[in-house]
Amino acid sequence: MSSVKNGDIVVPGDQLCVIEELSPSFGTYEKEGVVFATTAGGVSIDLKARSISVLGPDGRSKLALPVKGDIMIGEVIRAYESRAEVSLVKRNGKDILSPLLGEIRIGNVTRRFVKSMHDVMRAGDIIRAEVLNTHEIPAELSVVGPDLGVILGKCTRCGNDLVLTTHNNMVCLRCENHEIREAAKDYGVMFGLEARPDIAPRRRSYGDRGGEDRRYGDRRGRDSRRRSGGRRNSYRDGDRRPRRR
Amino acid sequence: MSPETKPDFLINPEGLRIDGRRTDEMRPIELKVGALKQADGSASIRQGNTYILAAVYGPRELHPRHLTINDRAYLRCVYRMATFSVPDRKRPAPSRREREISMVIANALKPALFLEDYPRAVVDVFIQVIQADGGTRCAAINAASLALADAGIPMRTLVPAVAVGKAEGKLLVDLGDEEDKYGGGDVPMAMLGTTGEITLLQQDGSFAKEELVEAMGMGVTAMKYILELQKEALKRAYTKKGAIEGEDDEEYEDDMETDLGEAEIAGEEDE
Repeated sequence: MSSVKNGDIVVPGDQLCVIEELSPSFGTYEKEGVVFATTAGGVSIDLKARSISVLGPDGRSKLALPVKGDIMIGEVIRAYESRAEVSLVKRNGKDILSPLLGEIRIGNVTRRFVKSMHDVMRAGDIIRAEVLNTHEIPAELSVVGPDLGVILGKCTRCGNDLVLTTHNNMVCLRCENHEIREAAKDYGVMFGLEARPDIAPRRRSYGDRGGEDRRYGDRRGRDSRRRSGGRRNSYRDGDRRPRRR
Repeated sequence: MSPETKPDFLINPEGLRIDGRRTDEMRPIELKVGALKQADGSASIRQGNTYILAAVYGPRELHPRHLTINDRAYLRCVYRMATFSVPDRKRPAPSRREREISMVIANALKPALFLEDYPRAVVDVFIQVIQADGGTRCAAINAASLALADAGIPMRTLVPAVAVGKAEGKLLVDLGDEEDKYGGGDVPMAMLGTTGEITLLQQDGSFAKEELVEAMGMGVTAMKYILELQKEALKRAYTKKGAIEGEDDEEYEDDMETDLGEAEIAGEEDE
């Protein structure tokens, strides 16, 4: 006897059916065995799951919060050892009105092992990520996949934009600082930065020679230790990465 | 601007009010959902000469953080009157009255919302009175509840509101500005659309017990009518979705002209 059918327009408070017929889903609530609408929109009945939901005109929830599978763009505000906080500004290509907080855990960065979040993204980077949970603050994010990841990196030394050389290796053209990021496929495209593989070859050839790899790593290690601790490991991780793929 | 004068009578010998309404008749109400482009949800209400915009943002992160509530969202209502909304310029600083009405509106809307779904978040409701002609707090609730529904915030039901007042011994539904100022009192009220639970009940002036009961009866009838208008406006917004947008705009312009009373102004100048 469900009083509504697929596509009916309902408003908050409208009675939809009883709980024995269909179980409440998005945009509905149940009170004393009766299912009511909580939002305005079209009724959508899933007979397979025996659930009823109320969705907006485009078949999605109209709420301003991201849902599972949304692609968000945001800026990394803080990066810790095992997690990073992101201020999200775009949802599925559209600006959102007020920045939302997102969170990335280290396990959701790549399918490989990542030792530290600092090796894949740092504060100031702009990233593209996928949302894993629905209607929650903070949104849980994932950057696993070729389309997701850092789309603009900032040099940790001078703040200038990083230019992609090869794979996940980056270089700052102002201070010649070398860094690594978990870059998306289209790194820098949105910001007019082109990949510069021509800057990389020297280092690549060093690495490929194998025998010299060791010496090279040591030298770089000493260098970076002078600048800031701990970059040595991360640098070598990054160097090896292409070969594992 | 002409100084306001007290009308000779609020109810004429035929039993009609200043603007020609019967005692239980409401002013024409025009509701529009999605009046603003920027907000997550918005609505406008034109009730007689009262014109109010309501905008809803969120749920979003709450700043300052110390205001967050751990088990539910915080409902932040801001009711503001434009400086040009009343005959004497309203001073732009938030007044005591605005603070109180903001709180009262938040309390009236809160029972209709599922705030517990969004812990530590905030739902912002901004209400701006563009033109005030009595009954702004009730009109504001009507518009705000529509704006909340437009933003997709889960609600138990819509919240209609209306004021019932007294002038020259008679109970009047939906007071206009003069009836409010020179009448004997006024009782604004709001209720939950489905259950009829009262979420706002204030009183100004003195009412006998029987009068108050009767006033509430009249108010409930009027609110049921407003609820239907609200439902209709929401459904219209969802079925149409900007298909006949142009037509609507024209209608609005026409209304503005009649509101200004251009003919009247021109007449005065001639003299």
